Amino acid sequence: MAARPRVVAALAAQLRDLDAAEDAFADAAAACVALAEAPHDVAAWLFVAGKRRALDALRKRQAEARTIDALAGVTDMADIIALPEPIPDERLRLLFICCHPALAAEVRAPLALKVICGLPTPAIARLFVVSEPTMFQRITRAKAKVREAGIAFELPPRKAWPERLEAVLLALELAFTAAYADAGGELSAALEEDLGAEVERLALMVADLLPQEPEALGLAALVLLARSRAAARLDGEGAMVPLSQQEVRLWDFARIEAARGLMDRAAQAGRSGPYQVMAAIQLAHTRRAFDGAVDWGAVLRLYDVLLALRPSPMVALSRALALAQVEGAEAGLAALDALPAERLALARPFHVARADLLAKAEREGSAAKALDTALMLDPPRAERLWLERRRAMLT
Amino acid sequence: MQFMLMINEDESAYAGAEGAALLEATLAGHMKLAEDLVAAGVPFSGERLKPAATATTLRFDHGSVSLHDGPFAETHEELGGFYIIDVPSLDHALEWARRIPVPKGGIEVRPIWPLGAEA
Repeated sequence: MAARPRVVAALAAQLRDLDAAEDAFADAAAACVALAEAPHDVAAWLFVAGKRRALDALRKRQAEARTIDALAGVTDMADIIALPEPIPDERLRLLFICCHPALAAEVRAPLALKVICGLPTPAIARLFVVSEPTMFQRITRAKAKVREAGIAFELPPRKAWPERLEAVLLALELAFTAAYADAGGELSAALEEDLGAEVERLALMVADLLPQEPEALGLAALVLLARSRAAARLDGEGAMVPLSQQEVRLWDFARIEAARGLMDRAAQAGRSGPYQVMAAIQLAHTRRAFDGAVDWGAVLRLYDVLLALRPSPMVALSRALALAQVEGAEAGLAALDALPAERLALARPFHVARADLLAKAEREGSAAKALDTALMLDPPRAERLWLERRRAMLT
Repeated sequence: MQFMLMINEDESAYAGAEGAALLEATLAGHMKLAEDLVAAGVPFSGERLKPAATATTLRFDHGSVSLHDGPFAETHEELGGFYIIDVPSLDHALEWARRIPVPKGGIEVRPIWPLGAEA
């Protein structure tokens, strides 16, 4: 439900308890659906109804008197509806709570998806490839920690934002990577949730709430650009289509334009960062739709910057592929050989990249072997179909 | 709410002539911090502990008790002292913990179980 992040955040800020806010929202949403006529302002209705229900629950449990006092002032719906801005925007507050550094890094994105987006725990478990009980336990523990460790339901002071924002963006990036890996939409279909759409909504929300933070804009642009290709990522048989072979007319140019706008605004801040560079790389790929070709020299330079900002074997791998486009397959292969092969032994993209460059260098036997290795590393269906097709062409 | 800030640091950093100078600077930092806590109106207490070598540990095992020389956990970083502060939230506690002078080590921040609160 689109109103959820705003309403849950406002409830959490008032109730100072994530579970209570989620329960209150669920109760209010159920009551809302049962109404004969939809309320004029759904979000405001949910907020007030949720608050009433939480208040009832609190009274029943005879919980802390001071919480009730804090709530007692606003219980009349008429009071709320009359206000020009009925629901205070507490989404940023809630996001900072879910991504607090006192919580384990691995649970921040799951907690945000659970509390803010309302994704069911089984969906989150599958998204992060852990068992349902494990994810349930992680989220339960994180909520308990928020409650017990004294994590404030206040916005952190402005000077603490950069550090906290980093945790928020990293959580979003993890969630996005997981959602994007579901190219065939198997996970989304099985769960009847569009996971990528939820992550995109969160990323845009952060960019909207923190327009002065260029990296927040950069991440939102990155997510938009990746999502702009959703319709082009699979062919008629459900096999993956690599970026360089996608039909550009299937790209969503509204998203590409929106991303470009975000990046322009980010650039005005004059502070570059990894998400802006990653978005710039993705944007460079979209040039194929306008100029008919990708400027691989520019892409290579961007990867050089990214490698300096955030060195990792996977970035180095992508850089090697760009280098191959500029200087030829052998140069790319030499760059791949310089990577820590042991660490990448189980990384499918490493073997796929090697296969790609080996085939271009007309070393078909080695290319076939690299593809066999990749196929043994349990690719999702869409990628497997694509790899099998390439493998068949080599024999 | 109350938080305990437990300072775990490498005692060996304070050994020798250079260490003595470092200790002096660190203690001056603690004095400054105490002044800042007073100035900010934060209720607090705190103590410095003698070195881990002076510790004696009792180990309990369902009825039997044994004594051991040395600290509870053998690590490179020992509990060297603590503060207890009363601030509105974890973020405030972390902000104060950040200002504790520690040449090398870590500070564990934990909420204190409120008296009378339910388990």
